[in-house]
Amino acid sequence: MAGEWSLVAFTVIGQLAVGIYLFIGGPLFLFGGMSAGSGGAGARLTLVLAVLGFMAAATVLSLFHLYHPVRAYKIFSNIGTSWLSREILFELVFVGIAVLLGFFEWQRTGSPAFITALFVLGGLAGLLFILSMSRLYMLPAVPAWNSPSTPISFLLTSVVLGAAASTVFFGMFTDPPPFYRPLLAVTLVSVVAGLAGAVLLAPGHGLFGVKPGPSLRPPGGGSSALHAARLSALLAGAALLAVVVASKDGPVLGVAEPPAVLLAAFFLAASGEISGRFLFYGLPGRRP
Amino acid sequence: MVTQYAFFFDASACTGCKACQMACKDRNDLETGLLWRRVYEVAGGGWEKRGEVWVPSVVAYNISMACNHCEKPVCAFSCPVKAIGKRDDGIVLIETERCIGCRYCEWACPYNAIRFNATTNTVSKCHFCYDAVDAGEPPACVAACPLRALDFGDLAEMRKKYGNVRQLFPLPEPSQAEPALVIKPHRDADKAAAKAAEVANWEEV
Repeated sequence: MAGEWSLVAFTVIGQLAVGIYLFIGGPLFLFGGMSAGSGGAGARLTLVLAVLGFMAAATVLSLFHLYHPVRAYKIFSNIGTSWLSREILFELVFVGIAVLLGFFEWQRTGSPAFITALFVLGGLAGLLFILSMSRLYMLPAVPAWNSPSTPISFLLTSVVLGAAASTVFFGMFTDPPPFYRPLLAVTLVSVVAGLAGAVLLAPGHGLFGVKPGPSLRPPGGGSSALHAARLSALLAGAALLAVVVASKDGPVLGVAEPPAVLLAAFFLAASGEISGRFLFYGLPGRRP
Repeated sequence: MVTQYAFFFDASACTGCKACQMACKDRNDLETGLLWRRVYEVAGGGWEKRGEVWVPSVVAYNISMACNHCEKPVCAFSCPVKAIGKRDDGIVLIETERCIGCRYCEWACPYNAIRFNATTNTVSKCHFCYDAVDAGEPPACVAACPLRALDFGDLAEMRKKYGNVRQLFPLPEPSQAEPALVIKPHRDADKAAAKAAEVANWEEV
């Protein structure tokens, strides 16, 4: 499963990019955004640049799992039946819309209604990107992947990382927006949902747990250490967030200001999701 | 005219000698570790007490398996660059120069027939010895089998000659890809799942 590191990087970073687009972009583009005086003037452009940066990183890292990346320009040859072709198509649409949003924000042009519509379209493209990404793994030949747990867990990764990153993003401003405290609560709920998903959708004994059927594929199976690491990291991230939510405006735990604690919570959640993704790729057996 | 070439495999005759596997390797000059045809040893059972007597309840048989040139080639459906195609006679071929090496087809194939070739850094698989077949010769594996446990021909003819069985334990559900395969099952195959049989030679396949 370690050999699939580039796919782990591509899927997790891609889902993070869609997550921050929705969780940070939602308040900024749909619900009034932030006032210029609070340091929010460039917030939209910063978000778009962050999304594009993460998508660029995900794309470059994904090329490492191809043995002939220079031939990858043919990737759209099989849109008709290949979910991998479709995944990259939706990725390009998502990135294209983000580029357009960035351009209009930079030029300070475009009517608010048009920008809002463009943002919504981008969100839909991002969701289709994640769903097609999960669909390509839902193969009858791999029963461990061929269940609703694959799209649910991929979407949960996006929600957990997007929400956790949004608290760090908005916490960096000198005067956090009015929705900041509710956002912290939403983030806590998201990470707890991610933790619940990791338990309920666990391979082997989760809601969609499957016993390996007759197969000519070598035995795979997940790593219990990775599963434990995933649960521990998500639990620790949720605990840190709970402390922040429970505290008022002062230092948290007496050791750090909330942004640092929130950054720690984000990295813990990301560690949990990365462990979970390595676990996912280890489920089917494959010869090296 | 052949519209769908198919393999026939007689599990009741196969001794597991692996002559088919080696003939394939030899003819296609496959590097160490790369097998397009593989012989799986399926084994299970043990001892059973019947009354006061312990009797052996072993199930053991072999399965010679390569690409089944499926009627519904899910490998080709999954390939993003259309590097896998199907000829008019049903033979499924990989266009090595087009393959990007993403290896998704390996996951998609229910028969684990697609193998990574570390020399070309692309996927590879049985091509039915299409050049030999085009010249009226049998595929190397069929020609090499000393027990005549393998045969090939048009799928409709194979079914007329040998029946319509496409599955024996632990082959997957054939509806996944509609394999062009006809099997004569071993007598132990029906009991294999109940006896918790499993592939006993993963290191070799």
